[in-house]
Amino acid sequence: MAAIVFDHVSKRYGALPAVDDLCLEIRDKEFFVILGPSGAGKTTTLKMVAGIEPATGGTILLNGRPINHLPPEKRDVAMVFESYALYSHLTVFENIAFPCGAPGKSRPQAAVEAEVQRIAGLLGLGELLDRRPSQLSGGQRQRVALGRSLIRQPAVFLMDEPLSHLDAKIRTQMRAELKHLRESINTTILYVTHDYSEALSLADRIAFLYAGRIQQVGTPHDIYHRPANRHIAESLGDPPMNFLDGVLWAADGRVTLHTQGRSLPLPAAWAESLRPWNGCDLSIGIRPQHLRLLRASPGGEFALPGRVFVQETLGDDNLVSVVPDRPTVEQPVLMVLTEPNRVFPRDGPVHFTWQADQMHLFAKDTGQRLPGPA
Amino acid sequence: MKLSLLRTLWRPVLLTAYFAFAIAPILWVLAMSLKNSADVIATPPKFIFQPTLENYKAITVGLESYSTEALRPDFPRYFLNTLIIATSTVSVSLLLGTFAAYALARFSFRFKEDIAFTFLSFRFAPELMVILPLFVVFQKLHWIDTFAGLTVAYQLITLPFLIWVMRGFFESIPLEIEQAARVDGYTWWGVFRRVSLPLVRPGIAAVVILSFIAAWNNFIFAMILGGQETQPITLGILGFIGYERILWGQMAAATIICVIPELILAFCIQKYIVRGLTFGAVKG
Repeated sequence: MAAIVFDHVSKRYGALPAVDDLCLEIRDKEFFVILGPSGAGKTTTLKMVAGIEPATGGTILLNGRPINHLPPEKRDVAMVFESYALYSHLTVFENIAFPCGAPGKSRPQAAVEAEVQRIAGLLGLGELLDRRPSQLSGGQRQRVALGRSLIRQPAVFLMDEPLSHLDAKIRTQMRAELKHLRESINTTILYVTHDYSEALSLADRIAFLYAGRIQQVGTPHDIYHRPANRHIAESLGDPPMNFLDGVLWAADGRVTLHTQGRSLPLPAAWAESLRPWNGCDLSIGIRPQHLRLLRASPGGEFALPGRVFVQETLGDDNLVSVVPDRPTVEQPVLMVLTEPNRVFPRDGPVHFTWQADQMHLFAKDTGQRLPGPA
Repeated sequence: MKLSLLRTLWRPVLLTAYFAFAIAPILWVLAMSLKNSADVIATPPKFIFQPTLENYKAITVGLESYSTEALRPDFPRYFLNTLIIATSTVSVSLLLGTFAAYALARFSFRFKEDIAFTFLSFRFAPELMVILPLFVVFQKLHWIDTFAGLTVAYQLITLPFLIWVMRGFFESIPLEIEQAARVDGYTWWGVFRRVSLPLVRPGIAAVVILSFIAAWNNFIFAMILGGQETQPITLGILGFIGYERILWGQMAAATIICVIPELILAFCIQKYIVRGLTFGAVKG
């Protein structure tokens, strides 16, 4: 049982706010991911839960009890540090067994040994138990750090980018391993990462943190398909979302989006919710996989003209960069994912289009998502 | 061709030169300690002679000829005195200094840097400058010629050095290691004992040797603040210079014996002086 509540929690370094008025509720046994770019305050948030960094404002509650005043050793949390923070004077075995020697946590020697062996096997460290951290690769060290937290049965696991230094193959493998492990440890996990795919794959819910403030909290599906603002939309997806400038006209029960000198009529059902934005400047976000390329003008249908900049082969898809007829400084080329068998010669004229219900509309000035489209 | 020869040779040549410069006096004294009283003062100096252990016997168990004068040699007592003073000095410094260094490295408190600088400033003035006021204070406290008094006085030599060296070692421990150990369930004291101290072991080894040597070889504090009861070897050796004659051979033997404890300590401890005990702790 461990639910964590952040009640207006702040952390300032001098006048500099690292975390600003954080309100968040993490449910028992939830795999909760805090996603955000570096410097967003993710690690600070974790360290406040661990008790390493004191919060300068607000209350952190664990199972309804405030824990602000408790020292780290009394909080019953386990933490994986991004920097590993291994005990370099101890062997891998002693590192993993270290928490078992803490006062009040001691178990019989044989039980500790069996547990270390089990965890080492799980993490593929069985051969390395006699080594010292200096003799390990980065990925191996990170697994030792993970093992050291797994030997405990804490109320909460705090994980600070625990997979960031593994190479691609092991990372995917460990990600699956973590997700699998999660079923068996059955404990609340608060996980920090800057890697959106990690967040989408692991999380029950995600909080997107930027500049010390929560931008959006939601399921991976929500965050990916209904990003609350342009910043989140940009951060999720690779290649990233394309943006075009546009203006919205909503009158007489009809809505039209004007961009690049053309008009895209929008479903009449959106007219009501979009009316307040009549005449507003917008950013239109379309993911690369939702753009469609046409070799010839489709006649009466909506499509924007451009020419092919370059075509790249990605294996399962081709990535085509298209320069629109009216490029902007911000978005000089658009990225389009197409089927691998289609060939678009360089500098060839193309048209591109998309389905209205697959685009995202954001207010140009504030970056906030418009409520209209799905 | 010539240049490359120079390149390969400059290192061994320089090392040999320095080695000769450093070791020659010790070899000279060693030879002197093995000569009889006639050979010691022979001119030109004798390099080939019949070695004798007479000098060592004289200063440790005493010679037959002394027994009529009912004089037992004082040297063993001086040796013991020195051992007591040096050991207690290093122990007290280590106990106080390690905690002080940790506090200066990790905690933030008012006047921290000023306090650190004050410790260092103890070493600015030559010992001779502080010795007179110290003598007056010690006299009032009746600390003259006591081991406790000398141990306190010697802190002026060893403690500042120890604090500054150990502070650097503690600062080189990544903060997150200590934080991780706290989260793993250890109290501050547990972390200090199980993590911080083992990680600064090379530093402790280095300061123990250097402090011990400094205390062992100190002369001026012992001369002014010591006395009959606490006289260490450094002063005792002077006793071989008598009114009638100078016992060069015995003096040399005493010097050689003096070096032995420092050598033993250095050999025992040097394996702990390794670089980079914190390698691999955090990502580089």
